[in-house]
Amino acid sequence: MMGRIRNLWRRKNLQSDIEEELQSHLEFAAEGAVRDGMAAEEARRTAKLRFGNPAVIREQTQEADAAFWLEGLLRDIKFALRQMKHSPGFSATAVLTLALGIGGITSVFTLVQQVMLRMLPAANPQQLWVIGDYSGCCMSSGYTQSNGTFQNDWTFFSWEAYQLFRGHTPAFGQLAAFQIGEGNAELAVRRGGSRSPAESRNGEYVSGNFFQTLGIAAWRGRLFTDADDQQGAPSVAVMSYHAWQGQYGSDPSVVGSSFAFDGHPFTVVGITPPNFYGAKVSMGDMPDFWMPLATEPMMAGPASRLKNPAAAWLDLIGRVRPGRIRRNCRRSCRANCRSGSQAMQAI
Amino acid sequence: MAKNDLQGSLDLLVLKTLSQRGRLHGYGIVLHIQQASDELLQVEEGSLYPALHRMEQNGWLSSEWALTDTGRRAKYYRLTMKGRKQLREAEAGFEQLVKGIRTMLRYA
Repeated sequence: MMGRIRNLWRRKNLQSDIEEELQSHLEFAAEGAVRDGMAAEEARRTAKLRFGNPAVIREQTQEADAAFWLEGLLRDIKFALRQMKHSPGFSATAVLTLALGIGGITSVFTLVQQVMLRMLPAANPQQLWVIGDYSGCCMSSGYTQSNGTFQNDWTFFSWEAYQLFRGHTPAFGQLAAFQIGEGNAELAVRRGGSRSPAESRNGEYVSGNFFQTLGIAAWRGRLFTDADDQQGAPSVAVMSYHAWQGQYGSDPSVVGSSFAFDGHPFTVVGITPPNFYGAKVSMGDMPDFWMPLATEPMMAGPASRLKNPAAAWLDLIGRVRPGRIRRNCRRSCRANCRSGSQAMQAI
Repeated sequence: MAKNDLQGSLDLLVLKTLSQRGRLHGYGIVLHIQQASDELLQVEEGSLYPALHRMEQNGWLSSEWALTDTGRRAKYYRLTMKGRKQLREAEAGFEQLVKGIRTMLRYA
């Protein structure tokens, strides 16, 4: 079955295959000219002229500064499959997503955006993109999803990688990270002053700009800012509406009060809106609490993943600056994926 | 004569390049032909890729995407068995062509 999909995929993908080949040629040509002493800009122009088809690379040049664009196809398909497992209602979407996946990357991506990301109660969800890899990026053997081993898996990222991406992606107005769905932080939670035993809650570590990136406004209190996601900042948390309503009786005094998470004191500073289930749009394992990434070392102790460059435990989601054309995204994605992989090796 | 037209000579150059260098991407083929011919031959990139794809369709070349030494992705070509046979034929054909033209030019 996967073999059949792969073949279909390859045929449909031929056009972009050629396009990518021509682009790689232009890049080599420009590099060669630069080595021969030509200024980079001049080299690019010469390569273009020699090639005789400026249309092929026009967009690439425009987007040359937009670093590290990676499309999220593989991630989204995996996500779709996960969703299929969890909620039957999602199956139609997932199947449709996979079906369109055979038809082409762009349509999948658009659909995933519309159906999944658009379900987020976020401002301008069409500007939101998930970063991940896909078959056309940094793999020599194409579509490797079927065998279950994710060689060169660029779907989950380390905190270092997140910092790198965040610092080098001008096309993203905001780039946020959140803990991947598997292994959400299990928290033993007890409200300050309460005598009842601690209860198990689901926590998720997110970057300080997570809610801003999604454009989520607080239902009560406030949500995180980057200032909350600094080492040494007071430990704060945000509670989901569902936990607030279901576990704490919509008690308004929850906001501003102190909670112990695994014995560590946190202040709940706000509640998310009722229709926000987390960035995964999955009700199954939605977080009850969100905590800044910077609190992870304190909570996890020696097992902390924050400063471990080998720990890929974050999903990245970004908001594209208005005016950046999505059509260009695939091109610069490929170009920058390569420099991305070099940078990653350097880490 | 069809085999000995200009397109045929580009095919020959590509086949010969790959037989000498093993595995190369398109840009590498351009460079090799340029260097090996003492800069006398410049391959038009615009005609190279259609030729490569056509030769692959003919079964003379196989291709695969791989990373270069510097971590760039590129499509690499190599000769197939059929391609080696084609190279021998094309070389022989070309010698005939050159011989024929030279003889004709010397005809007085």
